Amino acid sequence: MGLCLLFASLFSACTSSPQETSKALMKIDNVTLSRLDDRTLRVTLNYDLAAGVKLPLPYKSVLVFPLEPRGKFAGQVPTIEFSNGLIALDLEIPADAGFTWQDLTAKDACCVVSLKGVKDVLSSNVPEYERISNSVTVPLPLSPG
Amino acid sequence: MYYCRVLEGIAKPGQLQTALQLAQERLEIIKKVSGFLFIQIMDTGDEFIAVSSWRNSRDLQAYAESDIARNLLKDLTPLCVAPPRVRTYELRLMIENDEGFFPSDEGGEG
Repeated sequence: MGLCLLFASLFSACTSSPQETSKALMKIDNVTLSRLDDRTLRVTLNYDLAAGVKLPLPYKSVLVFPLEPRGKFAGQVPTIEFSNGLIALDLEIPADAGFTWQDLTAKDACCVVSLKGVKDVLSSNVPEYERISNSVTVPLPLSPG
Repeated sequence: MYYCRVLEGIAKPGQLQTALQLAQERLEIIKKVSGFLFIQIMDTGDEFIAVSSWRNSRDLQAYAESDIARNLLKDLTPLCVAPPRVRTYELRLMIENDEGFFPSDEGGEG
């Protein structure tokens, strides 16, 4: 059970690092968010690497942030092996994520979706993120059922 | 060297046959993709695995980056309890018995 949750490691309360940088390594589109239940969010999106971008990507991991700006929450995407494709994963939102669905209904609170690479920072325990895709704004997913 | 693409999924209760039917329908298109060799689909309970084999990594990559592969994964996802997991492998060993795994063409018409 939960096959894909195995690699959908979750990162709650991922606050944006002050040193967050940005590189246009890929384009994302056709982003969908759906709530399978009160704590499970399904994210699907198409990605397409920019011309000249080589794999593997130079990051420890790549995260999808589906509920920004209010929802500081991310899930690890499977290793990107091809220059384009579909990313589909289920993310379990922890109870202590620091926001509720009600919080996300406020104006401009949600949902700006983007991918970020986690940089390998040897001298610090604080992870540094680099935004590596465009941002796509999608509606707040409806309550299940 | 041959390459394999492995898709693993767990169907929602009552959706296994729909998922398998969907995969089977897409096979008519997939088998025409350059470099496609063969596919095996197996299931137990609600779990299913599809293993497609490709002539080389370039052919597998072309398929994996195609709308065919993307749409198959997209359409299977709602039928599964979690999005299907897809991985690729280099085929290291393949052994068949003396008669061959597949029936040989006995030279009939067509």
